[in-house]
Amino acid sequence: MRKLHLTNPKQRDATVGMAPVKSDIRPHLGLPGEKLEYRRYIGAAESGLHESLVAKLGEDYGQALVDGDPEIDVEYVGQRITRSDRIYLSHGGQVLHHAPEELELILAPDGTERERRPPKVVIANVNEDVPARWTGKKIPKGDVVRRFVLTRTVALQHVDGLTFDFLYGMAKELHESGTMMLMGGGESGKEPLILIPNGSPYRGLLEGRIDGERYMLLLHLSNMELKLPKKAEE
Amino acid sequence: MARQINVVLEGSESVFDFSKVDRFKLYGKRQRIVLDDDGNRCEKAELSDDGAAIIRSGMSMQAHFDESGEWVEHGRMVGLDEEGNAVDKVPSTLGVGQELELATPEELSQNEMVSVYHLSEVDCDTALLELLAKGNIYRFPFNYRADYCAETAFLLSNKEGVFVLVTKDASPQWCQLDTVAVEDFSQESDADDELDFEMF
Repeated sequence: MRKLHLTNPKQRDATVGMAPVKSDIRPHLGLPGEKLEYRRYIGAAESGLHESLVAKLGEDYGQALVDGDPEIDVEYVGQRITRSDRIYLSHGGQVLHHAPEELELILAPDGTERERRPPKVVIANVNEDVPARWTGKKIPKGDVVRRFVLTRTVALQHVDGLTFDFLYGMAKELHESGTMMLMGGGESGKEPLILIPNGSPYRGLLEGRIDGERYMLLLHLSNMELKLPKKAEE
Repeated sequence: MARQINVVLEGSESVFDFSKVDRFKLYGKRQRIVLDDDGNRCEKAELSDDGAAIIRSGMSMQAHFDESGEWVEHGRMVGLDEEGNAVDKVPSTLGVGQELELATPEELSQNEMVSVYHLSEVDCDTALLELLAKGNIYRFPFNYRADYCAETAFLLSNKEGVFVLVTKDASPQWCQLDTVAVEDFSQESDADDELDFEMF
């Protein structure tokens, strides 16, 4: 079970369970009464890729495909792909046998390259030592959903009787105030939450609901504001 | 003619053009690239588990097969519910007036986000715009293209404009003192975490 270390309004900390909130089961594709199997397979050998066919038959090779199936290599086509490993091919198409150099491109919203740099290592700022902090900044629920796109949601769960009281208390306070609490990460407790190493920062908003002795404490993660791209503003 | 979102509130229909808003359009993105010894960009590929085939982009395909190993054409398949019964196809809602129902922020926040659209008014009921400006949120069925399950969309506005947030229904569970957290997270994907985020 994945855990989350967080503090309550009194800045007491505890570690609780968390589970992603997933959508309800939806219809899947199939045939009534039949058991189907999904498979990945090789549909074309390298000699059947567009560049190879152009080199061999010229740009207008459509009729050649109909006449002679030159794109079908019976040695490969139809071979099932079960497990595979990621590899990199050099510009010349050769397999790289050593760890390649990695770079990070920063692209502007219009797709232009803004920066090229060595990849940065991002350290999780919520962990066993540093909790996600209750910042005290409450935002009405209606304002939250009009301001942020809530990209992901995890439900916090107690792991024993003490953490039940801990989480129920937070859920109750938020339920009664009709607000969500901004949660902060890092030593300062004010940074966006980075829950895993090299993960993206997310604004964390805690929503609480109670129903008698039951509670629901949802940590919404947002990496996008509800606004227009700059291009459209200009 | 471009397809539009049509919604109906108390008998008055409003028509909007729409455009998708995503993180890349707002903030740009971070992308990792791999270079070969000459500083040229490498191509990502796969090596089959028997080591016999290098699978480059465009070489793999995917499909469903029946128990006898025969390929099943995608067009033959239908939507099935949990019990394996066929379900009716749901037509696209675009261009067809959808009745609005008042919704709460909680209904929106508990659902799984799918996509966000910015709306541009084409022929709009001013009463609806006023109610949105007051903070009302409305729910309506949304299906971009015909399939076997409509999504739930939420119509709302802020100072930036009018937006539709398309979601999949979700039902988070209540926690009680005697419930034990035993969720298995081994299947959870963290693929999105490679993406960048520059709103801070």
